[in-house]
Amino acid sequence: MQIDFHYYATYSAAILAGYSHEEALAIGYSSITVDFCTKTLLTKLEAPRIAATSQSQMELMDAPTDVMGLQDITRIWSSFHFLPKDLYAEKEKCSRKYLKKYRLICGPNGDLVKDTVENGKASGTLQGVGIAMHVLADTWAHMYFAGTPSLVINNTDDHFYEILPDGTEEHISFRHNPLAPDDAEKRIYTSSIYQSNENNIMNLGHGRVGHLPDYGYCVYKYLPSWGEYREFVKDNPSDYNKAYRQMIYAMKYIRGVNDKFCLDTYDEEAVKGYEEEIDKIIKTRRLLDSEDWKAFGERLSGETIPDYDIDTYQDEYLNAAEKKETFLGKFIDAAINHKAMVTSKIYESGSMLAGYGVVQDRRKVAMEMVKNSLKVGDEND
Amino acid sequence: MYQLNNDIDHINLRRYCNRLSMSGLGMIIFSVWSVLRYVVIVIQDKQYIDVVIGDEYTREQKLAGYIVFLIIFTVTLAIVVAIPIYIGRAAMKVGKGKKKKSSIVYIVLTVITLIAMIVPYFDGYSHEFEYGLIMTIVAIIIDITMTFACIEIIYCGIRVRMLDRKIQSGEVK
Repeated sequence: MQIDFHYYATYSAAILAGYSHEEALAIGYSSITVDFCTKTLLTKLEAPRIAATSQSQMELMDAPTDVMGLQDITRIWSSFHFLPKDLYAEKEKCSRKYLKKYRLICGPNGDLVKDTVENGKASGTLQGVGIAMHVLADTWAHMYFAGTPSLVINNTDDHFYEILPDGTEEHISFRHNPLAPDDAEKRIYTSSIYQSNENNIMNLGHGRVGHLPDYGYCVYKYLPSWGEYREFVKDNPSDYNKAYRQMIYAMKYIRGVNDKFCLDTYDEEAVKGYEEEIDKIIKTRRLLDSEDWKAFGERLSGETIPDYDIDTYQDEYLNAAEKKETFLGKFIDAAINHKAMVTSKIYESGSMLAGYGVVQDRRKVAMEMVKNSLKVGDEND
Repeated sequence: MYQLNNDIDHINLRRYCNRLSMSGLGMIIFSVWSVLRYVVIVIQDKQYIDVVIGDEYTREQKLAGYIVFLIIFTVTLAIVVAIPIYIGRAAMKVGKGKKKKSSIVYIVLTVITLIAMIVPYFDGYSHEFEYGLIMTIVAIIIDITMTFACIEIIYCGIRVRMLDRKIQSGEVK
């Protein structure tokens, strides 16, 4: 998803979930900052580079694709943009190496979504909530792709058709000109170049289909590499509507309105009276819906939503003595926490694709280990 | 809600179309090898041309003979290479859906090409054996690979025809 959904739509969802204007702004800002918090930015801020939630194009071009490099890429993209749906999925007649990549395929309503929302609640900060909402929303938009460079998972081919409202199908074509904008009318979109090397960076995420998953209006069918020649439909309007409603439901749980967070549950009550307007915004055939989402959010809250500016909180962070108490400090903490959680879960499933989990507090883990061993009855002093 | 063609016949049709397309590309690439092979043979063995032209001619007549030989050789080579290129392009077009799946010409030509490739290995004569072990081994490996590509095109081409006919007639599983 893009800034229209991650910032403005998330803001409006936060308002509908009962947050105030300032709180909703913090959540929306944190949500979209996930797309901009690169190692380059963190280096500029003299912040821990381990908190990176995204990689710029230049960083990706320079990123090594040896084992360590791939783990670094997978940690970032699987944690924040392509949350795996089922880390214990089974598939017949495939190698272990393939199975590990297959298990990283993103999808909504997986166990990790629940963990993400719980993590957002446990963080106790709006920044943590914002990061959780970004991750949750992206599970809908980026489903069927994996956050690791893999040709056998993320590739597709020429069999790509948009399904129009009247049921007819029109062919979608891709070109490799990054300077030319996507043409929604002619159905020509920019995608990454085909590279036969399995771990080439061009095969990361949904690069092979360009920004198509991020356009809310598009319903299309295609053949993903892992699909064994089966057609899959990606109904973006329906998925975006569900993502919106699930965000509201999740934020209500985080606020304490609901007792628990259940998967596959959507807050229809909160959007009553707004369904048509939300549906219209999503289905408008346009590459970016920022204006409409912004207008919708401002009408809900009665306040003005400032344009997103990555520099807003940088001076505060740079000049602060206690960086952890600043806006970006809390964002960085929440990002490290979330990345550690996801990476550990991937590691626990038996996959080294994301490397080892990041242990933030080694003393805490050591204490837990000691307590556990005492519980078991370990006689070793 | 949405009509997806995920029955076994449609899935197999896509699978064989993909294989056909890949094999067609292989065929085109291997046709380049055919050009290289015959050019190397002719360049290395000038005596072959002298045998054809003969010693009884004058220098100017021999030069004219060489030129005529070169023209005939080039035309023959072009015809020889055109066939695998046509086969490869047709297979790729059928695989990508740009040509009728019922097309059969390229399959027939592939059978002929396959026979033409295999027969010299059984008639006891091959130029390559005179040009060293490495050249021979390389030629054999590439010929074996090209044989597999031909078999793949024939098999996939026939399966695509059958499946397409079945789907068109509405007998899908």
